[in-house]
Amino acid sequence: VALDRPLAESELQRDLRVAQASSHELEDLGLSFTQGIETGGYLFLGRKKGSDFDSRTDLGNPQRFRRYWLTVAAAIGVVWLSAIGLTLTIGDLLPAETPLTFAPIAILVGILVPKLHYQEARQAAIAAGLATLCGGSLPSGGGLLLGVVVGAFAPTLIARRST
Amino acid sequence: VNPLLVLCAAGCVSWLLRVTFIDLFPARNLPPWIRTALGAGGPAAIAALIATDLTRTVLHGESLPAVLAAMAAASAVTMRFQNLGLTAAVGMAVYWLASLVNG
Repeated sequence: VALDRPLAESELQRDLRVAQASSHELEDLGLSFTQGIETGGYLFLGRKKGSDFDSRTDLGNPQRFRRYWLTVAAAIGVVWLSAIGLTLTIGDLLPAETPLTFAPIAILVGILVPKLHYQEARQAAIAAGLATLCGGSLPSGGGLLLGVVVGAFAPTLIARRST
Repeated sequence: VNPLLVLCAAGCVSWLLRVTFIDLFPARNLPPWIRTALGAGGPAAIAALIATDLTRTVLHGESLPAVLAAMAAASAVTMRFQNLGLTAAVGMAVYWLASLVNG
């Protein structure tokens, strides 16, 4: 989650509760459906409070809200698929030895590093990386699967050992 | 097998996995240890992908110091600017320069 400032524990817990709430629970909290979706967006898309979603004050109507996000999703889908088609076409024309070979790693590093703000994420990432390297000789990408499973359960196991 | 069928099947499985933890078994109703594991799944998956890519890159004859230097630069840029495009650009530039230095 990318934030301008560290959230207070109580604020983060409240946002998590709102993001996971059903429409009835949101009503109990005195919040609208849109506010629940926005809170989820802050947490799961890594948006910053005071920008992006907050700047859209015209999406309170559910019909407008859905039309807006369906349009955004369709536009992203078109650009995504077009870019894949384009790169499939021109990829073979590029020389094999270019700095582009590092691009996937750079993008993954760019996605992972902001998530390492939390201790559980750091534990998961380190455990997953080490397990993947150890299982590198497993067939059919087994090392990757092993890394994901070990990393996902590492924070739980570490917490249990420390208590 | 028809590639279109494979794509459709993959899409269905992906959608089912997503909707399972939203509608059928909402995350808030799961035991805490599973919720912790689900939360850690994202960083774990990305770290595992980086480790796999790193291994593949080095096995293909690329210089490990060059890759590590580029990763360090990409991490520093992400922490400072949180901009994916800039991270990729700086990472690739450092990788290219480090590869030249390493011959």
